[in-house]
Amino acid sequence: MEEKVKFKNIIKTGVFTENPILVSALGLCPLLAVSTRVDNAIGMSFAVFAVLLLSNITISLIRKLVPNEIRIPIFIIVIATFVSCIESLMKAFTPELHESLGIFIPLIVVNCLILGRAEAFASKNKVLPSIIDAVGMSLGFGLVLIVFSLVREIISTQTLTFSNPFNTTQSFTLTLLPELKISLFGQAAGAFFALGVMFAITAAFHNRPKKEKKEVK
Amino acid sequence: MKNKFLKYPLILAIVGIICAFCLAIVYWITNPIINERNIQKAKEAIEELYPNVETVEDVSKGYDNLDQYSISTIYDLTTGGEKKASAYQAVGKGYSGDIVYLIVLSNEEEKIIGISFISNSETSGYGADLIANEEFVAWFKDLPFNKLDKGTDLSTGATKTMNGIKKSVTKVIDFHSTVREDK
Amino acid sequence: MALISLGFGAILVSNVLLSQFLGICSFIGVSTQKKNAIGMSFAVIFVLVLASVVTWCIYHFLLIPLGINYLDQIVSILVIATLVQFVEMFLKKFIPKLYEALGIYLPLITTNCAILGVATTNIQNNYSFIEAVVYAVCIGVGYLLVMFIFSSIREKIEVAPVPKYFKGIPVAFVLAGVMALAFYGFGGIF
Repeated sequence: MEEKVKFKNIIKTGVFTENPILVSALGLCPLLAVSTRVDNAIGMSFAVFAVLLLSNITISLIRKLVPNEIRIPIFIIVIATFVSCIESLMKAFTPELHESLGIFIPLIVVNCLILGRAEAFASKNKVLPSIIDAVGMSLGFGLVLIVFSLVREIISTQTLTFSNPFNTTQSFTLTLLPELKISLFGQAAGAFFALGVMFAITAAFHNRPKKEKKEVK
Repeated sequence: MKNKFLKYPLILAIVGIICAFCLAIVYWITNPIINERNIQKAKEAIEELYPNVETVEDVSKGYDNLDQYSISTIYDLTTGGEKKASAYQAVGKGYSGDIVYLIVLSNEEEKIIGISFISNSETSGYGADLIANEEFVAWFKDLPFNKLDKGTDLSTGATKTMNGIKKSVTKVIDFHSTVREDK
Repeated sequence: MALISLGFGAILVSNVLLSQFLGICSFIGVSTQKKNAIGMSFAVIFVLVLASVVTWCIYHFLLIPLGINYLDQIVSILVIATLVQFVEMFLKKFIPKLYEALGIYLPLITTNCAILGVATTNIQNNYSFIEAVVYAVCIGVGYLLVMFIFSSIREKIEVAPVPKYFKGIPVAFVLAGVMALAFYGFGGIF
């Protein structure tokens, strides 16, 4: 029972209290670049999840064998290896996704999220909690990324397109918002504006008046 | 107590080697798939440009110095039992990186049968738009060799991209006309 | 000349921060004061150029001949981490004021997407040595340019009446968006 509560807390931390994008402002570079289409966002989320999971497991497994002074270079080597593996696999099995995400796949190596979790959690905890942490953090990252992309794609192209990453000829397009189209959101400037608004909304949410607590007292 | 300066680099080296080994295995598995995919793509592009082709044969091994002509692969295209055309996969130096394309040249007449652009990293709104423009691709269809240099108005605003493509195509045509006597 | 358009393209058209979205974390973190922003930019330029040169050399003189191209990412990030370590030690000893001002953002240059991004771009776009150096230097200049303008604006915005929830990071992003709009104008030049 205790274990289950602990795991629930870990996931809650990843998605809410320490959400990598909204709270720690990590991974902003891929967020801005990849969020033009929901397909790319989903692909990127899975790639980050795969790398985070593998890296957390590995680092948790070797945490007792790694000398403290050289832990960062070792973490970096491990993470870079997994990212290269994932990139090769994507190039072979999901080539169009690999081309859309482009340079941001190798850049997962320097996504502070992965190194951050390795340092803060995986190197200090057993394997199972590290796995749950990876799930929680990726969930937090992915949810924000996908919602952000949803907004950008719908406003900038009026449609939502989902393609099977393994076989992009199978795709499915939904047309929404038939009248409104602000293509600015598909470009750089729009990305920044949308991001600013998102952080403003987050700030407003955190500072919302906490009525319930007053009543209890 | 082992000397720290010996122990740490050793551990780093061991970790590095294990990781490099794992990566090599993944690479060994995925590389053939990637190459196969590229060949498949080339074949599909060729069939689109030259519909009556019967066999496509990669004959790049028989030639040296393909790099000089910016060529990466050469295919012999056979129709009706005769090698009527050749396809070349080549690379042009565009504005921001390589432009990979496939071009089919006739063996009998001095003309380009068609071109297909495979990949590029040109600027969206300029070079990338030019390459994606169907009219631009159609300009190459049945284009005589001597008309290539004149260019087309479609390339306004993407001069560097156009020049990169032209330069490479000229080299390919040069190779096709001079070096390939056995076609 | 091809190099000139490559260079100016890197500074203005495909600006590292406003167009390629690389280096955003440091962009937001260090740009609150002009002095820190400029100091950070120079540190970034230094690491950027040096890292690009070293990774290019290792890739072309070591990895390709040995046929182990796929190790380029691991090698690149290790080179960058080492270089940043050296820069840290250098600054601590010779320019301690800047070292303290940059604080945690100095070791974070290692994870600055711009540096790994440029090193990877040099390899992916198959640049020659000269092209790689020019590209790296110009990306750095572009970074400096945007950081300078941005921090100048942010210093003024600190004392301006900004809507309550937009104060700080949100308005910074809106500003970045306006700057990105401005930079679109450079698109047609080259």
